[in-house]
Parts: sequence; C-alpha cells; structure tokens
Amino acid sequence: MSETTTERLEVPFTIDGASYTALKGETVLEAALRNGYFIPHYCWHPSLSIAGNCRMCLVHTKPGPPKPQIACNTVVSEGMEVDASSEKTLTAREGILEFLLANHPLDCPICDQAGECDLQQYSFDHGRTTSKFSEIKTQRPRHDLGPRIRFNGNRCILCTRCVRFCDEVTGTGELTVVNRSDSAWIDVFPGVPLDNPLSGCTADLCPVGALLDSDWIHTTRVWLLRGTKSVCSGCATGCNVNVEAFDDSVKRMTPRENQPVNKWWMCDEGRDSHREATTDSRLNVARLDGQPVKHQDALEAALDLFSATPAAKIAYLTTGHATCEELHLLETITDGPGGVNYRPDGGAFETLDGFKLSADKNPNRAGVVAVLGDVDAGERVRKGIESGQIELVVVCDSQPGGANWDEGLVEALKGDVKAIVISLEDTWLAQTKQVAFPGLHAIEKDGTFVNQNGRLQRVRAAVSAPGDTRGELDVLQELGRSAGHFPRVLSAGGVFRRLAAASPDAFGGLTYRGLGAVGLPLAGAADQTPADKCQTYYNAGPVSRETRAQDEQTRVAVHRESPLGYGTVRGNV
Amino acid sequence: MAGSHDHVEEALPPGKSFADRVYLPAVMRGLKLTVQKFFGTVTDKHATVQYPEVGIYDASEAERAIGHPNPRYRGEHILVKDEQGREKCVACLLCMAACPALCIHIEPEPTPPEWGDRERRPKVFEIDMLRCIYCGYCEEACPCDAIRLTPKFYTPTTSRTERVYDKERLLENNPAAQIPQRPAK
Amino acid sequence: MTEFVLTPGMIGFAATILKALFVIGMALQIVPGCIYFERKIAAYVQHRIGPNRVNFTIGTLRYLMPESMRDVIPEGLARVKLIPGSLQPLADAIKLAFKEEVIPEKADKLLYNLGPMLTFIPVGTALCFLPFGATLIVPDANLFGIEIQRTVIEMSVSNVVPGMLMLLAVSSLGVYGIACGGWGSGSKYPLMAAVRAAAQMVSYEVPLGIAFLIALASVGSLDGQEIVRNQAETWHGFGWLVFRQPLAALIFLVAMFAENNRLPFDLPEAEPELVGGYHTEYTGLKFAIFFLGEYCAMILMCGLFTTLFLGGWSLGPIEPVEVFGSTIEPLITAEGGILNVLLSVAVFTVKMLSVLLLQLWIRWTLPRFRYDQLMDLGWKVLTPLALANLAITAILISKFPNFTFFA
Repeated sequence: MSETTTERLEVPFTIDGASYTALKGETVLEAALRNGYFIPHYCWHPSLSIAGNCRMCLVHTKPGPPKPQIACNTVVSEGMEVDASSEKTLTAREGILEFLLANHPLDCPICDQAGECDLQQYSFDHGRTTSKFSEIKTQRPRHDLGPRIRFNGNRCILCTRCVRFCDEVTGTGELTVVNRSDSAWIDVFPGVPLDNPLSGCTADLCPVGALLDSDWIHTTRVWLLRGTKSVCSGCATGCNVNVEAFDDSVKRMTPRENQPVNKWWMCDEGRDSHREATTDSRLNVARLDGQPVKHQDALEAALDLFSATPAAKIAYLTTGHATCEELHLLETITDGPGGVNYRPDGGAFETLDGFKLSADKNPNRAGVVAVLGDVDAGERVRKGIESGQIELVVVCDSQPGGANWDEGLVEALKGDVKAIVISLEDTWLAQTKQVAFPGLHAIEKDGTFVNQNGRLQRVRAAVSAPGDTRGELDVLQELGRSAGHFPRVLSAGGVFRRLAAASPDAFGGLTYRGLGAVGLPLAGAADQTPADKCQTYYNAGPVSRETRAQDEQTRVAVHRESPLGYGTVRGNV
Repeated sequence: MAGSHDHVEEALPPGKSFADRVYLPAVMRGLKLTVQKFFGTVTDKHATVQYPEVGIYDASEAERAIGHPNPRYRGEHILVKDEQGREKCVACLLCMAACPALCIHIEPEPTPPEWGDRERRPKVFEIDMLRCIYCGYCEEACPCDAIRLTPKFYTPTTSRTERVYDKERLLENNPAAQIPQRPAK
Repeated sequence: MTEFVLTPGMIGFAATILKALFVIGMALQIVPGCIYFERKIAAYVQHRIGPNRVNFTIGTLRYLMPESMRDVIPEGLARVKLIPGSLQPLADAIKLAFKEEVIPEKADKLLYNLGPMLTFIPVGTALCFLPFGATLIVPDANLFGIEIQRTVIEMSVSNVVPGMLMLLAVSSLGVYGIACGGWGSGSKYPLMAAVRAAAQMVSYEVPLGIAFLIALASVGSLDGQEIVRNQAETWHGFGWLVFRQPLAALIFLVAMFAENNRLPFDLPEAEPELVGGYHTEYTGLKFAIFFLGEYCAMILMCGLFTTLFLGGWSLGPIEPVEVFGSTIEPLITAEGGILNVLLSVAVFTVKMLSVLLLQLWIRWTLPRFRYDQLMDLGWKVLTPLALANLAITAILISKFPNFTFFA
C-alpha cells in the first residue's frame, strides 16, 4: 500500500514453486497476499508496525536459514524460493497453533468471536485434533477495559494488535501488555480507560475473542448476521460500513475498508448510529391533522393539498440527512424557495494515519451543495410565509432527533401555512401540521450521500422500516406524479438517473449501479481516488473479519448470505 | 413370522431365456408369492400395531416410564438441568444454526453475576413443535448436552400456540407423565 | 269388463327399465365392495390389517331393540365387529360428498366439469350391451284378469344385434373423459397424465380390438347371447373361448388391464411421478365420479372377458348332451323360466367377480411398467401376436366354412 507502487522495482520469486513478482522491499507476507496467496497470520496488519510475535506466518525460505522464518518480517530477495505449504512448514504451523491453544479456553460456544475467529479458522485448517497439554490452563483477568470494550484475558494470544493500534493509529496509547510470559495480559493504565473515539476498532482488530464490543456481545451470533454494504450516517466522513442485521434488526455496524474515506476504521459514535432508528420518539404512523391514519388516507389528503396549491407557492425545508435523490425530488416538485437545517458540529478526531473523523455531523452537506446549490437555513422560506407568497411547505426532515429550525422560521411555521411533513421523529411539526408521513433512517433507505471530500456513496437498506412507513422517496414521487412532474414512481436508482440527467455538472457520467461498494468522486471533488484504488490488495478489512471460521458446509439453514459481504483470500490451504 | 423379511425374494435381473422374455413364469411366481403372503397374513400375525390401544392405553409400566415402546424414538425435546437445577444451555445458538426446519428461536442474555461458571444463558428459548421435524440435529450440535430429544410423542393440543414450547415448558418436559389412560366410554 | 292386455311391447319396455336399474345398481354396489376388498387384499398381501375400524358391531343391534332388552347382549360380545372395516367405503363416500369443491383458477371450466361425466357415461352406456343372463320367456298367462302375452326378454339392457360392436365402440370413448379432465385441470401433472392415458389407451385398443375380433370370428356372431350360446354348445358346454383361443384370451386380458389403467399399467395415475395423475385437481364428488367410472370400467371389462372367453352366464351345456352313452340334462338352458334366469345371472356374476379378483391380485403383485416397456409390449408384442392369431383364425374359417373353430 503505497503511492509509489508503480515506481518500485519488481522482484521475481516463487512460492511453492509458482512464480510471482514482489515489489522491492516488500515482505514475503505482503507479496504473497498481494498475489492472492494466503499465508495465515495474526499480528500483522497493513496499517500497523510489524511486531512478529504471533509466529503464525512461519515459512521456509531459500536462500535463508534452515529454520523457518516469519513471512511478515522477511523481505523478498530476487529469486527467493518460499516454501509455504510443505510438510515441514505445516508442522511448524501446527506447533505454533498448539502453543497458542495451550492456554486458550475451549469456550467457543459462548465466545462471541466464534464464527469470525482467526484462531478457530486456523485450528480448523492447520491445528491438531487433540491437545497434548494436560496441565492446568493459566487464568487471566476478565474485565472492562473501557466503556465499550470487554477484555477476556484467557482468550488473548498476545498479538498486541490492539496495543499497536492505540499507539500508532489513534496515538492515545491507553493499552499495554502487563506481566510476562504466560501470565501476561493486555490492560489499561490505572485510571485511564480505553475510551478514545475509535476504541471499537480494537475489538475488530482482535483476531480472537479477547477484546469484544460489550455493546454487541451476548445478543446473537455472527453466522446469523446478514451484512449490507452501506455508509454511516453519523458524520460527513461517510465511513463505509457493513450494517449487520439479524431478524430484521441491526445488531452492529462494522467498518469496511475504503482507503480515501475511512481506511479500515470507524468511530464508536458511528457504531451506535443505528440506534437512532429504534428510538421511542420515532414517527411510525402517518398523521392527518395530528391524528394517526392509514398511509393511503394521508396520501390522498396530501395529494389534494398539493394539487390545490400552485407550484410557485410551495416551498420546501430539508436537512443535511436527506439523500441526494430526496433533495432532487424536493427541488423538482416545488417552485418556491428552500431551506436546509444542519446538525451542529460535534467532536472531530484525526488519527495518526490520516483517518479524519469530521466535526460536521451531517452526512450529506456536500450533497446539498451539489444538488441544490446555494440554499440558506430557511430565511427565504420564512419571508415567503410571512409575506403570504408561500401557502404550502413540504418538510422533509430525516435528521435524528428532529431538525432545529431557526426561531423566526418556527414562528412562521406555527402560523396558518399548510405543511406536508415527512419526518423521522415525531416532531411538533408532524403532530400539528396537516399531513405527516413517517420517514426512513439511513439504515432503512436506499440513496446516495456525498461525503466531505465529494465522494458519492450509496446507502443501502439493511432492515425494513417500522409500521406502515413508505419513506421520503415514495411520498415525494407520489406528490410529483400527481402534479405531472414525472410519469411514474421509481426506485432510488431511477431517481438518481433523473438527478444525473438534471445536474450534469456534478453528477454527469455517474450511474447508480456504477457506484459499487466504495463510491465514486463527484466532478471537481477533493478526493479523486478511483474505485479500484480504494481497497488494498491485502483485502484486510478490519482484518479478523475477513477470516471466517464458518466453513461453507457448516453455514446451514439460516445463513441466507455470508455474514460478511466482502472478500476473503482463503482457498489455497 | 410377523414383520420379518425371511420370505423376501431377491429380484434377479431378467434373463435371456424364452421363459424370462415372455414374463409369464415370473408373473406366475409373483402371483404365487402374493397369495402365499395373503394367506400367511390371514393365519399368522400381522405387523400392524393397533395404535391407540397398543402403545397408549395398553402400554406397560416400563413403556409409560420412558414414554414410548422404543427408547430410541425421537420425540419432543427437553432442556437438561445441571446439579443446581439451572438450565445447562449457554445460548450458543448452535442448535439454531443446525436446525433444518428453523424451528428454534433463542435470545441470549448474560447470566446473573452470582453464576460463576458461565457468562451466558438463554433469555428466550422457544421450539415450534409444529415446525420441528424431530431430526435430532440440535441434540448433536449441542456442545453442552443441554438439549435432548425424549421419546415423548403423545402431545395433542387444542391450539397452535400451545405447540410453541417456551423455556419453562422445555425444562419441565417430562416424558414419563405423557401417556393418558383409556378414556371412559 | 274389458280385459287389460299386456302386449310384448309393454312388457319389454317395463323389463328394459328394470334391467337398466338392475345393471346400474349392481355396478354401483360392486364398486364399494371392490374398493373394500382391494384395500383388504392389499393389506393382507403386505402383512398388514387394512381397514378395520369403521363397521357395525354386535352392539349396534342394540339400537334396533327396545330399551329394556338391550342388556341381553353382554358387553364383551357387543364389541365384536361385524366384518371389520366394512363401512369404510361408506365413510369414504360421505367424506367425499362433504368435501369442498375446488375448481382451480386456471382450469377450463367446461372441460373440467365434463371430465368425470365423460368417464362415467361411456362405461354406463357400454354396460347396457352386456348379456348377463339367459333369455327369459314370459308365457301366455292370465293373471288376476290381466292377460299377459308371450314375450321373449333378452337379459341385456339393450338388445341390438351388433351389441358387442356397440360395446367396443362406446367403451373406447372413456379416454375422452381422462383427456378432458387432464387438459381442463390447467395443471401440468394432469396434462401429462392425460397425454399418457390417451397414448396408452389408444395403443392397447388395437390388440384389445383384434382379440375381440378373434373371439367374434371364432363364434361367427356379433350378438352377445349368440356368443355365449356358441360357447355353451361346443365341447359339451366347455367350449369356452379361453380354451379354444387361449392366446387371444391372454392378449385380451393384458390389454384389458391397460385399458382400465390398472397396475401394472397405471401410468396415467402414477402417484410417485404424476402426483395423482389426471384427477390431481379434482376433489369431492367429481373425484368420486372419476373413481366410480374407473371401477365401473373394470367391472365392464371383466364382464366382457367373461362373456367372450369364459362362456358368459353358461355353466355346462345348455342342451341335453350325450356323453359316453348317458344323457346329461343342462343346469341352465338358453331360455326358460325365472329360476333358470336367476341361476344364469348368478353364474355370470361369480365369473365376473373372479376376473375382478384376478385384477386386484395382479395389482398387488406386479410393479408398474416403464413407459417405453409399456409401448413396446403393446405395439411390438401384443399387436403382432394378435394379428397373427387373427390371420390364422381367418384362414381356417375361410378354408373350412363348416368348421366351428376347434370344435
């Protein structure tokens, strides 16, 4: 992973007799992974320094010493012959696994890493069936390292990925290894809990079940989860995430690798963002004059209202949480002015490796600029209402917690002006205005967001919305269709096609399907990384996620799809 | 002898002789066999079990104790308790994964702090007995020997909801008490 | 007082109605019994018991008694079953009658409803041409002041002369019922079954017809009564065509199984492959009529086989014959009084039921043919054999015009 890849010299070498080329200065493990040859490893991670303490990646090299060497710290030399699967190497690997398992408890049934555990997978691939270790296993502490991370010392194999993460990525350095030898464990310094904004990543990095997200443990099992490649709606960074759901409810969100956006990481706040969709304050029925009604009744009332008002007298209000498609629809079906509300700034964070957690907590602020151009916070709408030019306001409020409109605008809205409200939360507008429809949260809807660097990324529905929720796209298109703006109601992809045709400057040449898993940059955006450069050849993700202990045959019945929607470099063992 | 297969004749591949090719001798042999069977059943005992009487009303004490004439019969499940009367299940959800009929529903929860020996137990453990195909895969998948199939088979209910067994019912599922007495006329 | 005269026409008309009622009643009564015995035989052949729950017990008699006398029957005796399971067909019929009639959405309503009718009507019609007894002669008499004129009543519902030809013609129409049902159901399995059934029945119609022709040629008549008489007059009453033309009898028997869609030729309703065959989509009484038609067709074919090859209603010679110097008086004569006729009907029924039993017996013995085997047997074996048999018979008859075949 380096910008100077093309300039580096290529070095020919062989693994198990097959010829490959490495880049000059590359280690055996990196070169093997880049060529699609999988060598098992725990402690190595592309973003972290090489520790070489798990010894799992032992290979024999020629030229080289007669004993095996670790592939992660051996630089490829010209003509090197790497032996990664001979009897001798496999025996060494088996020996290492036996050492690792000597003190590891056999508690896979209650371990929440089971199913995505590297140790489980390697034991399955290379391990012995029985243990020669008859002594009593060491007992190490089990406690919470921080508000989010639960530590189970017995399961730890001391790969120190988490320690290096805190040292090298977040730079906060809370974790360390205490004691020595078989009584060593990972711990925090007294009085300094592991509470940095990215602490959840240590659980992702942990190849075994030693560090677990206490928010997720004891809820379900990984092999039941169905992953949806989506984008976090917590801030303008637009972290690529896998929204993992079971039984139509999101159980956790884990990061997906996207180098220009979020590297391998995501923040703890983002991991919790799916909870915004399950609050008690959500609106989950349509309302007519504040009273709960069926969607169809509300829709008929809304259509009457909409068609009775000339388009020039209709304004719209929206938030930085609306997708580009919703913004485009709002702009299309109304002729009056528009206003946008943004969430106030929150905490920002930047890691040592360049991952920026944005202070801007609106996932689509850049999208608002790209689609609507210059819009204010509702000043023109207020003036329109006060002067009587605006008779109807379409409010599209997908902001968790509800939008905080300016006081003047609130006063104006409280007047006689009519409103069709599509709202995530059961706000005062939804309760008092003529028609209200429930809106969708980002984990429930399809669409696109533009992140702070101008990258257009797809949000995908991972779970279904509560109750009779149809969502913004459906309601806005019904309104627009009744007014003759377009012939029929389309999916998000169809609306995007209209958007791309309407705004060729920013969206020209982009297709919904072409956005893929990692998104594409808008024209003139700061981040112009092409899609094929977004993921490293290590295909590492948050690393331990990419190895699946669940073999194809054992993933039976309930597993409609791989719990982890993205790649694995297994296959040559 | 009733139920034995002593008289089963092996079907030979058809030969090449004229007699084989016109089928008729074979047909005659078949007719002879079936008529022998017919009169064999008339005079000998048959293999049928007269179900409600035999196996239920006329069950022996031993059969009543295990709930079925055959102790290896796979009937309703039981959740096994440990020495302290707590469920052995640790809610690993492996039975749920193994179940081909998707009839098991488990929601795990952390154990109370006073349980020192394990971290997790099922909050909800439901088996939809109407969906269950009694294959026994859950029993095989269980790492803790916490779920077993008993020979209990006589389980009529008056509603579908009663056939969804919750944790308490599964823990108390007693095959010994299942066989009813003959109803009075 | 004018005398009331019963002319032969009037008596014949009344007799025809009575005969029709008798024939259809017999057929409909044999069907449930046939079903019961089929299930029982199947069970016994397979070491099972079969239906044994629905029946009267001795205790049932209590309901016929006045209340005070009911204790006469002790409890133990009251539990004894009278023919275990004998009411099972009745229970089945009641169940079918009360089932919901479901017509599939994609069904062709007309053909769907026509299917069961077209299976039953040809069979019912064909039964009319079956001679089931000796000719009854009503003598001139004067009964209670009513003058009865001498009338000859043939014991078949319809006494047309080419009766056998009519029978063959009408019974072949049964395939339309299956084809209509299969096509009209609007479903794949019935359609495939209907195609199979049509192909099978048309194929086996050929050897069946030729075997039929051989029998007719040997006898030299198309009249059912004449066929029976001919058999009873030859070889001292045992000139049954099954002895005179054994090959034709065998061919007829095999083709008969195929025509009735019975095992080993039940491909049109092969449950493992075609769910239920052409009646997959039928429920309730429509299904029952299909079922009834099928069993009536069995009865018809068994009756036909009896008439053609087993000497019909005759038992021994119908005229006095001299064997080794002594004269043997016939048990049944060709025409006569009411006792003679009743005996002949009984003989016919017993013979027919024996053939029916053979059908059941074969069904639980032989496995089903594969479709290509079925077609091979029909076209490559039975048809050439039957043609050869017919040719030889025809040559012999034409060479020796006075030669009663093999007599």
